[in-house]
Amino acid sequence: MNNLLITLVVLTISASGYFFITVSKAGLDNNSLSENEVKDQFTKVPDLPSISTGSEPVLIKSVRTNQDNEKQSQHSKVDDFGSITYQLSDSSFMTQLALDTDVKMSINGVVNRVRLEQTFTNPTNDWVEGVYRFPVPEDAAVDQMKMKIGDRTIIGKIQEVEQARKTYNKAKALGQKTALVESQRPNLFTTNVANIPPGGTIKVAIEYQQTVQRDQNQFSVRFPMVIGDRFTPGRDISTPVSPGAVASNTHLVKDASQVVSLTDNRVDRPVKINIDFNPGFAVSQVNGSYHDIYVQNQDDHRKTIHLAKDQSVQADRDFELTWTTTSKEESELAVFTQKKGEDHYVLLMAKPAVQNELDHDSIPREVIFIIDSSGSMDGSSMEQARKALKQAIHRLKATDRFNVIDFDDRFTPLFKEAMPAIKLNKKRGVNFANRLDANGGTMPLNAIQFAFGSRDRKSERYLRQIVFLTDGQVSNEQQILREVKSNIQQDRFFSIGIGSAPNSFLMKKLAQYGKGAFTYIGKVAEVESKMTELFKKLESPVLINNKVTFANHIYAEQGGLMVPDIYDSQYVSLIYKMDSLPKEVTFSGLELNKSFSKTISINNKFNAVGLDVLWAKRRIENLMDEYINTSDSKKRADIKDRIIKLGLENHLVTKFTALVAVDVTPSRPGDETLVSKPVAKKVKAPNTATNSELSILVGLLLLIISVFVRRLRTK
Amino acid sequence: MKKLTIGHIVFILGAVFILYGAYIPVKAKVAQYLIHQSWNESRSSGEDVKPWDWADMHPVMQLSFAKYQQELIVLEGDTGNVLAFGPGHNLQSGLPGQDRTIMISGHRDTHFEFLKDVVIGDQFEVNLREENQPFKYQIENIKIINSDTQDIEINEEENQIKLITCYPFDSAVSGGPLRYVLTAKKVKK
Repeated sequence: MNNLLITLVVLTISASGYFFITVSKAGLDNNSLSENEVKDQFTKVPDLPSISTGSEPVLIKSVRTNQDNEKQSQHSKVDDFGSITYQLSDSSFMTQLALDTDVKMSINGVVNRVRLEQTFTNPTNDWVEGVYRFPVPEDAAVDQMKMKIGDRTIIGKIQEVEQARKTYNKAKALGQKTALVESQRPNLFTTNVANIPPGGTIKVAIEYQQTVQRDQNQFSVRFPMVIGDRFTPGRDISTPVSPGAVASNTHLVKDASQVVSLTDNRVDRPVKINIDFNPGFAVSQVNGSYHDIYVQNQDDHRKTIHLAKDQSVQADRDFELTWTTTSKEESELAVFTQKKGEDHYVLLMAKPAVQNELDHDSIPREVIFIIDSSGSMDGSSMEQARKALKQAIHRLKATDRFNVIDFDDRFTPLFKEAMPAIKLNKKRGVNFANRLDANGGTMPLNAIQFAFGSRDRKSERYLRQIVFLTDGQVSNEQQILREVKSNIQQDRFFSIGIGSAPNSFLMKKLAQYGKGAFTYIGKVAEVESKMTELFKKLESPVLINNKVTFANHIYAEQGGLMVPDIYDSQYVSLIYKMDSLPKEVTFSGLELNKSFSKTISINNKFNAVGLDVLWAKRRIENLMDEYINTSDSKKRADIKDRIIKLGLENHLVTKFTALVAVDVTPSRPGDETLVSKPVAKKVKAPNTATNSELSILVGLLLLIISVFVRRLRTK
Repeated sequence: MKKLTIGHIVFILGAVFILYGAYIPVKAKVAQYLIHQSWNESRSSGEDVKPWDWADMHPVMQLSFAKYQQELIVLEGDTGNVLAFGPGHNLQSGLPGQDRTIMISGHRDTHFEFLKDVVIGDQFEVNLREENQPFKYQIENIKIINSDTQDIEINEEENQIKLITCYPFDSAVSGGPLRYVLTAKKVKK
């Protein structure tokens, strides 16, 4: 008897799962809405693709012709071009377009010139406008744009951004093919292409230049391919949003609609990379950090490199190329020069050797770890961060102090104030790291404020270092940078970028303001080696408060204003514009509490190209820093003018200048009028009922059963 | 100690289910009460006031259906954890004052239960925290959609509100695909 009852109870409970399904199905039938009725009232459209980290698809704004005005109410999937088109009932539609990216890099010594060609193909029957948001390295100086239509090439001109938009919109209205390249953030650009004919193709090629990074004997260049889903704090405001926007502007991030991207990793976005590699010296270990590459030797030093396999990859993670010198000897200084008109542009890559070995044990440190556990860190990013944090804690000495602050949309500190790094506390830190769980928004500001605020009287006796582990997927960079700049005092700020595509603009700027260093960890396997490198820097700041001087008669204008702290293994790269070439260079600064000065004579100079552009880019970067950190509107307007002037003179895309190209031959026939329809968006309806009634019903049923059981027993 | 019999276990289980079922509407009511208080406070002070210390959402607007004596505070976001406490505003949709569809969802068995009585032509008001003047809307259209095959359309040119709840209203179980969609247009002054 008992067995039977147990079975009954189990059945009832397990049935409740099934119950859901059957009753809800029945509910649908009872509703007496026949399929046809549903169809008559509404158009069937597919779900919006799920939003996940990946690269941004092209959103197309439709420009319909008169002939094509009859309403279409089905969605079509165009496989030929690997794109997905959603056509909606109200004659507007949204297309996700496959976009081919062809990357050609030419690495010459320390300068990397990159050509990035995007092919916009229109698989629809309408004249369309394509909007594409893409990442570039934050130090890239974008100075060329070419629009290719068939055999013809139209070269983009630099204009003030408002003027460029006007030029673009005018051409768009006239039915001319036109392209516009703008910069929303130093590492985030947008290309707009208007009047792509039905079935037609327009290619937009941009070119940029950057310096090769150097760390000890290792050199590297990085090509970002992904914009992460950025978190936007603040209240929504009702300013107009950009076409294809997925986020509203907020009172904290006024341009959120332009920087937050809709991502869909199902869209085909092949990227080809070809590199002409000419480092100028013998190299070994040429590697792609996150991709397989194929290297072909041309002559002594020259190589061609392309992606292995079928030579193209999906744009789902950043590309990095690294190489090392074969010579064991580390030079203190490498000098590259370029003559342009009367001016000399000089690039110094320096690592002045410090004579006396530091006694590392003598400086106790106070390390505040700030760790990101927001939703965007979910998966291997969280694993990397956890591992990195645990290693860092293990490495602390008992004489050091530390604290850990975990943040998502809120923050939780491990201790109220920094505690000695004794075994007990370290264990608590490790447990804290193990418990980290990735969810919620990315709001680091309060955590950073807490880190500054928890500085106490004891802190003075320590070298205070803030270590920030995050993917940096935020869009309120300015607010965070301002906070760090105004409260950093004598603290040092180290940022560790985690994941397949961290926001390296933010991370590098933070490290620059905090005179620390930026380390990038792209995969779990890298955690150990990268962290060890960072520990060296954390434990031994070599030279601070640095100055670089030349002979008195030389007039030298530095591209960036500050000379950063020089760490044990790191080269600093500095660019100057000078009226004559120097014979020697003097580095001076502070080494612990002792002053340091060293003059190095320049023996070898290498010729280079494009240093002028890099100099202007650093100048602009510097002015942008000033612009962000002043609230005086008059001063801001003045800085803006100077940025515009530099941008126009050097043909550079900045926040205030953009490249625009117009094909003067009108291509859209005059009788096909331009009707610009808004892009309608579809949103999934959320679940809007609770199980309250059901659980009461199940509860009652169980009560009845229990009474029934009782009665059986008493019998 | 007396042996725990199957009967006892089933009885306790039943009681737990009933308590849980009763807790959901109570939580919804209490939350709205607390949210109301914080709303009034933040309207007078102009600062963000959290309804309770550990609250992870904030109110964005207030809906008043005078005819049904309903005053509801709408919270930002329409995920499950938000909807438990009040109707939720979809982040991708607009706000009053914008020419864009505003999408608000609520549970059919708690906050949006009264929607089953709402008819075309009913008017309601929307208050924003920063604005003193309420926005007036009128129900123009009521539809039932199947959310498995259809989505809610956000129109970028129209100042309208879509109120969404589950359908049918008296179904005992949740998770069904049907949605009750009321579309209201802004009343021109």
